[in-house]
Amino acid sequence: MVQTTTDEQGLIERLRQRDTEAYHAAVQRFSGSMLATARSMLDPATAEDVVQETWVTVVDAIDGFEGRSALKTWLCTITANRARNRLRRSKRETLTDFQAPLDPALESRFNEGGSWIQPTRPWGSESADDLLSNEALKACLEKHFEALPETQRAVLMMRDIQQMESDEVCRILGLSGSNLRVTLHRARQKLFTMIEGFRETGEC
Amino acid sequence: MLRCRDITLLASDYLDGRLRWQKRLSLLVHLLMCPHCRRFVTQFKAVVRVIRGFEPPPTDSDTLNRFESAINKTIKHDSTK
Repeated sequence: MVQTTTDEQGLIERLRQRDTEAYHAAVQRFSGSMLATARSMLDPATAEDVVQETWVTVVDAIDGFEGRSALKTWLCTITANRARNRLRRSKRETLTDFQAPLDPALESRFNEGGSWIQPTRPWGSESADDLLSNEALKACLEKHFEALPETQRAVLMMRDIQQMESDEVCRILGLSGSNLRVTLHRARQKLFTMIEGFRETGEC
Repeated sequence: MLRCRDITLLASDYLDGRLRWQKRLSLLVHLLMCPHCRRFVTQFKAVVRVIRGFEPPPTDSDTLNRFESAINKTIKHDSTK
């Protein structure tokens, strides 16, 4: 299925002709998403290296780009593959951390019949703006975000923060639709229980 | 009949509009009857909004310039082959 727009097709043609202006435009337009993809798996400095390597690869690989996905998806997929290879090389966790759909911290709060034995307490203020106006909570949230397993962090980054389409994220990370949904929900639950704990104890 | 545990399982799919209408209806009926789950879903929704409000780290122009230099070097190198 061809998803490229005329504007994008023009850009791709110019990239194939090694047009430096076109590369300037592409670097400005797509590097943010590529960096976000790489940073969700690697430290910032290594992530930049990976994106730079990806761009260098693209100069030759663009000839083989068939336009079956959007250019951004294709670029992010190459970035994700390279980032994953780096992870394997450094023997860190790989993208296989799929888990049960319910976080253990939440699971333990239901009885056998599936009813709450320890329901969520009211937070007082439930608006996102109010939650974010608490600087200590924001810092705690960022810390927990960084500590999430790679796949969960990558999925949150792409789906919720960058608001990429599910299909795109599945293709980039090599996940099935149901794995994506479970992983996204697990990541959100982790941050939910973190915020809940913070609201109750004031501690990160 | 959905149980409270099912509601916590379905919360993301519900908020992302990914539930089929029968499931969605069952969930809404449960929420009408269960204040605990109503609170859970409201607070879970706030958390999702908080996450969506995160700004991706900005990309500084030096980094972008470095990418471009690497590309230009490759293009030049290829053209002299």
